[in-house]
Amino acid sequence: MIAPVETFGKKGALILGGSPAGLQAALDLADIGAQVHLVEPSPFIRKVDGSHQFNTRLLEIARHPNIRVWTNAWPSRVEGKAGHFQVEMRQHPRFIDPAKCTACGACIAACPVTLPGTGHKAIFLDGQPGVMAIEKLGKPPCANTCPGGIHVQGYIAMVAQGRFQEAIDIVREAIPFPGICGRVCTHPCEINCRRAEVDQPVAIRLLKRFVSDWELANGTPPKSARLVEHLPQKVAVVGAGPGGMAVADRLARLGYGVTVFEKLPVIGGMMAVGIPEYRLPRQVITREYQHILDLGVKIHLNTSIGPDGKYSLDDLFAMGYGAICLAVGAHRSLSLAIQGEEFQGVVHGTELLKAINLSQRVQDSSYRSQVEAFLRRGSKTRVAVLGGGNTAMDVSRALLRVGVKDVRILYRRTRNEMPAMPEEIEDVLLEGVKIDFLVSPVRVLGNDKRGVTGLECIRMKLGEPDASGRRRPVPIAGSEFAINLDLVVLAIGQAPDLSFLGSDHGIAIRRDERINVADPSFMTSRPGVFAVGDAVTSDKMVVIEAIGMGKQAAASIDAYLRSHPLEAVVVDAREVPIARRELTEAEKIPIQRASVPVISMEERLSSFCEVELGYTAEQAVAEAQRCLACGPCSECQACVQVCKTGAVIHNQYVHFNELEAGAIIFAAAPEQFSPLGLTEGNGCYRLSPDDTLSASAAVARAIKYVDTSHIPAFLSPQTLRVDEAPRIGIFVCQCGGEIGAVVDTDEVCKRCASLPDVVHTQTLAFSCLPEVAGIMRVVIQTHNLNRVVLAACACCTEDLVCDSCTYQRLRCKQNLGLFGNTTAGVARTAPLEFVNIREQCAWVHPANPKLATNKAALMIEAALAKLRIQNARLGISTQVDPTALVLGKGEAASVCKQVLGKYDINAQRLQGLPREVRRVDGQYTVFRNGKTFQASAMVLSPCDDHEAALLLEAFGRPELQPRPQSAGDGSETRRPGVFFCDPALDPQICGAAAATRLADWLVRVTSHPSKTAIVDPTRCRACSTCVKVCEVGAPGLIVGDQRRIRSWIDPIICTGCGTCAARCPSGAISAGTVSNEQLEAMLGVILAGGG
Amino acid sequence: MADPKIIVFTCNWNAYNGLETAGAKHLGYSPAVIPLKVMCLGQISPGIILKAFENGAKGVLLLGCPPQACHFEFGNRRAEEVYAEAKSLTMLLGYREDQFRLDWLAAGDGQGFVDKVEYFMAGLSGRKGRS
Repeated sequence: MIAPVETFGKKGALILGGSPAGLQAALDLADIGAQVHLVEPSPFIRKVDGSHQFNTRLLEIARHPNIRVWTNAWPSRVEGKAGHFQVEMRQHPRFIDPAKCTACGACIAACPVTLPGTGHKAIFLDGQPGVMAIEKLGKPPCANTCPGGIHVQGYIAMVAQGRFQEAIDIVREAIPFPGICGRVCTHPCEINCRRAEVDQPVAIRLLKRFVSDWELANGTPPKSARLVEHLPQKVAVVGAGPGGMAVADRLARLGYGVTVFEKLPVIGGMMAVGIPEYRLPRQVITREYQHILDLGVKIHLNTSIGPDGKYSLDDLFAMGYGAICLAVGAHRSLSLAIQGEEFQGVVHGTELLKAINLSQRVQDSSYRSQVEAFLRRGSKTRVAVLGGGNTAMDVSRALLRVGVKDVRILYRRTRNEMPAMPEEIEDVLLEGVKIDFLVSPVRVLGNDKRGVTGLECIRMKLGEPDASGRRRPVPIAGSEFAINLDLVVLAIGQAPDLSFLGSDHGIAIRRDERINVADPSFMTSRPGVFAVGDAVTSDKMVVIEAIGMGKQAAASIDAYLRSHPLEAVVVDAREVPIARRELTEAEKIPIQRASVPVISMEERLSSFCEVELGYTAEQAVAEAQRCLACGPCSECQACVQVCKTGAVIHNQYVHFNELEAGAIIFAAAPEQFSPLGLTEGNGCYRLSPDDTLSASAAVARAIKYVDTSHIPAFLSPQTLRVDEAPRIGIFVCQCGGEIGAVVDTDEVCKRCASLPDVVHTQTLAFSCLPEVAGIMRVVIQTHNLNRVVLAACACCTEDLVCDSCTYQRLRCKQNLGLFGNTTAGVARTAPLEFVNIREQCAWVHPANPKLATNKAALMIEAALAKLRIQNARLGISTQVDPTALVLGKGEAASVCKQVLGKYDINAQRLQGLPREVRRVDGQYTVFRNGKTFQASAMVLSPCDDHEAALLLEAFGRPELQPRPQSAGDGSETRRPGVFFCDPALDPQICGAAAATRLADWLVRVTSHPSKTAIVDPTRCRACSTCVKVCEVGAPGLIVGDQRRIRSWIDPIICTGCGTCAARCPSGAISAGTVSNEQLEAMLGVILAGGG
Repeated sequence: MADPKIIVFTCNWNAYNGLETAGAKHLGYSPAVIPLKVMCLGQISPGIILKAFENGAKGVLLLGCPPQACHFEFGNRRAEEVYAEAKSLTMLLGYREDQFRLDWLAAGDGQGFVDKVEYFMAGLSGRKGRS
């Protein structure tokens, strides 16, 4: 619908604000040949009062070849001066392609987000252009922060609606481990959740766990058959932890053969050996890995890689793996470097956890004896765990569960600095572990057998913040003390163990003992070898981070195997803002976060049973409803899935456009003016948003700064080539099922194909898309069609925007080239007829598909009957001279005359009262003092009401008097071409406004096809019936050719109602969009048709 | 014999908008109703009405703009004249009173369209007129 911006040359006009005044100014300027940018800051120009007239006006603007409508846009910078303004326009995306949206509303039904305050969905339609828009301020903070790229707000919104299957689908789209992450994720999303500003964050992790549990119990199993193709290349992944498996999962989905080599006897990597079962039950890991195995991924356990392992990297390449991804994790614990660390009874946290975890899993009894060896005094073993991270918490709680009674944590800072998740710390304390804060170990105390007997510690205080931003602990001199212990557990961090690579592996290792990978491709210095996870970073990866990294690496590996440049893999780096809107008062009311049920303390301490039980469906829904919908669009993609035309585009970005404008008219909310930094006056005019009269007056001032040479040229409908034998084509639109679900479009085509002269029938999925117009053009040319019927939702081929028109109907007509100045005018080579089989068949007869189909076929057949007959109304435009008469003694008269001069209209002012004003030869003719004056148009500018009444009376009977139009500002009258200046108003404004409207009217008359009735002089018997029938005085008797008296219809006055044609006894008059002859033919077809 | 058909002539303005609104709101009515659009009801001549009956229409309903709201200002005055003229002709030819009716419909009144059509059809059903 929108003219391409480059066709707009210099010196157009910029109109700010889609208000009534803004629309008036836009139409005024566009009609007189100026190119107009109409800018509306919101996504829609709204119907102010819901009136049909306003809707029609909005559509007129939408289709006007001289108007470019910018919605969701506003100038970010304006420079220059009158005649040469430079404007930088900030265009916020609509996220909808206006050329494709059919406004079917399926997306609104699917959208789970209702906007606080407005009550409409995040995707909505509220005015013109009549296509959807998505309310999206940016990325919701939760989704923005998720390393795994989950549309967090999206699945929360789905849970809130009880749409659990869609919720789990959204999670699965991003990550393969919803159940695992639902239990152990460190949930950066919750940390960034805006709900925390009100009370506590939404329990996002637990909601993910809920949908995962729900899926297991009720859902359809995850779609494993996403494979589009099987690619010949194979990829080897080393390490079956979350990072490696994320790589495997993504690549398998792309069709690659993936084999995972795992050194340990179990799957899961650190998730299985580092995280205790009470937090992450093993069957959850097994289940989620099984989905990946179902994609064809193979896992080899107990299989080391490297010179000392089963296969070296060279072996893997030789075995046909095109790429290798190292995801070996960080399994080597860091040492504390204190005296006595080598004593028996000092153990690394991950090692202890591995032993405990594996002793429960693997048949191998060595793990059990390892655990027993660590716990020398069984349940009486006194243990201190050094560290403040999640490993320290996990070890402590696991030790309680194997029966140890005396477990304490020593941490050198305070609880505030502890890196472990707050809920973990809480659970640790709840289960009876003592945490000594601000305590640091000095040395391990041992006996002569080098066995641990205790730990010497020192108390600390907090000093200045260090590089990590946490306050640095400083020892307090002389505060040393000793604790008696049997076991010291070091849980102060891990590093990767890269010794497996041996030497001479060609892979660069950084100084911090991490594999050096290229950013952002994750390829090591050895081509074809990639690495992810803790092996490449010191940032202490958590599960979701490893998954996120794995996804990126998988994309790089895919590019590498396709020999695409790896740099190209980077996703669009344009920064998307984080959504941050004002919360409404209602949103600021606290709602308690749903607490999650847990098992009893007794059960907890005596087993490795999962502590959290998870939410019930009711709890989950209530918890999800706490979400504040920050986006507000959640990017759940539900709209994308239901949109049949693919009109939703979520990855649109803010655009800045440079425009030039000769003049600027501001008609938006007053407070929006001053930020623009404009000065009122030369070339910049400021209007009250509702003042349409001042808008037209401002146009009169603005035109000297704008180029008005772009006179719009509208096209008339193609005339019928009567001399050619009919070759008819019939297109039946299915409207993406809206029509097709009720009307059997194939059956309609079949029936129509058997009609005489029909050479082509075809169904169309969506006739209002631009590419479909192209298809129709090709078909019309290929089959040399000279008559075409399109059965869709559009209802007329006229150059007309009536009360019933819609954006999509206009778009369809415009795509087909039924209006002028369009580059897409492609199908306009044969006369067209439209039939509306959506609103008049499919949508009103859903219970009767058979009869609806029959009716649709009949309506098409009737349209064909109409097409066979030439309508005499040719639709040529009427030519008028640019002349005007200005009548009356009002002050506005001289203003008006002067402004008319600016529009190059030859205006003549008559001050005295006319005796009579009549239409003669298609001109307004004034009789005064024995003289006659003629012009195409008139302005009445009385000095008072008395003169106004006398001027009106001069036109004759009331129907012929130019009274003000019922809707409008009083400037336009019911008499075509007659304008009025209200003596009660500012003469400068109403004089200029009347002149502008008159100038517009002259252009419209000449550039649009006339709707006038036409008299066939050979059949006219001059009976005067038409003259009597028409109350506006369009027909009149004239002396025609060969001095024969006949009726002639004044094309300016005729409104095209067709009443004269109905009454003409000799059938000499053709009028309206359908002639009597055509109506009779249509009736014949409709009533003859059977069921 | 084909299914009985009801021809509903609408003007292009208020009445057509009412018809379209019934569609847009998915308000159902009988598929026997076949709409035909003209610019203004005043455009229909008595001959067209007779043609509809002659071709076998079970009923003819004319829907125009509400009183005082005619898009062309005087079109529904002409429509009333045509209606009166056509009415006497249809009566003369033996069609029943109920089979031919002039009514109006406001823009946006989809339910009104359904109601008026159903009311008209109820008047036709069960009783025999010329067909």
